[in-house]
Amino acid sequence: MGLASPTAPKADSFRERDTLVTACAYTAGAAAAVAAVAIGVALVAYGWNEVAWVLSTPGPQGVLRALGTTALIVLIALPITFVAGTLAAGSANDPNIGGIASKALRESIEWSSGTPPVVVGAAVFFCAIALHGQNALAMATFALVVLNVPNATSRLALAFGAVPRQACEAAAALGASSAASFFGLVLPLSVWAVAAALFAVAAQMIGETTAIAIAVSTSNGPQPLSVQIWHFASNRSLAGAEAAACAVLVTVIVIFLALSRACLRRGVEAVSLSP
Amino acid sequence: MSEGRGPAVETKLETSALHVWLGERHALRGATISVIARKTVAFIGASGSGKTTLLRSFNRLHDLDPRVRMHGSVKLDGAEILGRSVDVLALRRRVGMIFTRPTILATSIFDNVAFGLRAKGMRDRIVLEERCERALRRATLWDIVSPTLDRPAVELPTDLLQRLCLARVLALDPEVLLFDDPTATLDPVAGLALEEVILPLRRDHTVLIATNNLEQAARLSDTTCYLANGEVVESGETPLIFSRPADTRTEDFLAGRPSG
Repeated sequence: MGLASPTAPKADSFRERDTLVTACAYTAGAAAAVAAVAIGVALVAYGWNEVAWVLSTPGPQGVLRALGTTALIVLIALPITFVAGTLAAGSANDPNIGGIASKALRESIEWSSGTPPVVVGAAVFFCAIALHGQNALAMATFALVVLNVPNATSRLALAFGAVPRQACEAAAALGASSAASFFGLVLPLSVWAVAAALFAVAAQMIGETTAIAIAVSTSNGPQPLSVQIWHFASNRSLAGAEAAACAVLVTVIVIFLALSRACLRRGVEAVSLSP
Repeated sequence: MSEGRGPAVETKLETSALHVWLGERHALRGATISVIARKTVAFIGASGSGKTTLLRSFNRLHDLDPRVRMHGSVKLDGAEILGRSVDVLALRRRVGMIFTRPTILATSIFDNVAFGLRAKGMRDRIVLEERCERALRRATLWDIVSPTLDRPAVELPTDLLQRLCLARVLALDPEVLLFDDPTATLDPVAGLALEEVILPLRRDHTVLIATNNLEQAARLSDTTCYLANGEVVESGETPLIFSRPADTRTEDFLAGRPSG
């Protein structure tokens, strides 16, 4: 009776709240996983028979040419995105790197991460008009860069931030400049995390649609796969081919994300190895 | 400490009215000290008394943290080192530092020792090997690691890591060695072994050691400086400080009594 501690009910309420939050998180996670599996199953079930056909046909519904265009755009956009992202993330990790230019880039990225993709798409659309639709793919590439630099930066900043601060201090105490510490210590130590970010951003780029769809709508040139799927989406007679193309696209993205996760695991091991 | 010993020709390091703020915290309050060349000074005091803050002022390691503000004067060989025109990287090669925790770079043993030399721009493999061997010998590591120089440094036993850090600093031939409680993470045997390595270094280097181990301070130092709440309370020859401290706060600290 009189032995009960007055603080006991508070502790219990904390535990209840904690349990409730955990239960909600698990429920939401399970729902998302079920939805993802359901979408995957639906795509495969609907387009299974057409996968071989869309992979082999040379016609407009064939995915190989579109995948090639996607690869071309991503191969151009990815290095540009990573150079800008590395500069910004490096300066976020150490304010002495990159000076005013990096600081300005970092600040602009914080603002641009809130910009909807459709706005970026509209911006490149007007640029494409100004260029008379001659460089639609270049515009699409530019749109991808703008859209993905914030994503790449935040992933790279996390990777660089995982390198123990004491290691950077030790390097500085040995007379290494900020740049030498970054390129000689931080970057090698976070190489797997950087690779993980690279694959994750590539996956994001492969699936990105809105901005590049708007950008390439100004030309009749080759289209990346995501835009091709978008383009034929209203044609009910091509539903099977659409589902097959979607399954191919999702598979490619999943492969890249799996590579990203594998690299991330190696990265965590590499950083945790350093005392 | 020089303490009225006349001309500054022998003075290696000196601070004058040095204040350091770590964010909002006034960590060092007007520290004025001077250190004679090739002497060993121990800084003692409770945790948070400003020992590490003072050490990090001598190689401007505070520059890495934009929240830190410094005011006052720090001189090396009579030249001010807090100015904007000072080559901080060259300064850090002259004033080497060994940290409390051994911070091993995730590379091979050889690359760890050669890191500072490469950062300085040295690329000649033969010169690098020569300098690394000399540094490892001085840190009494050569006989142990010479067959495994290309192995990752993290594979070394914990008690040897701090010696590897010392070798990394010695490779740069610094004039001053700053030790920030270097044996705090070592067991007593490994700690004493590291002290044995430090002892002969005192002949060629000016050594400053911040330590929470009073016996270590007594064993290693020529002079001792007691800090409390960011202030230099008292400094003098080590036997004198330990046997007849002039300030009651020093006496209380050495006796393990809470200071009034």
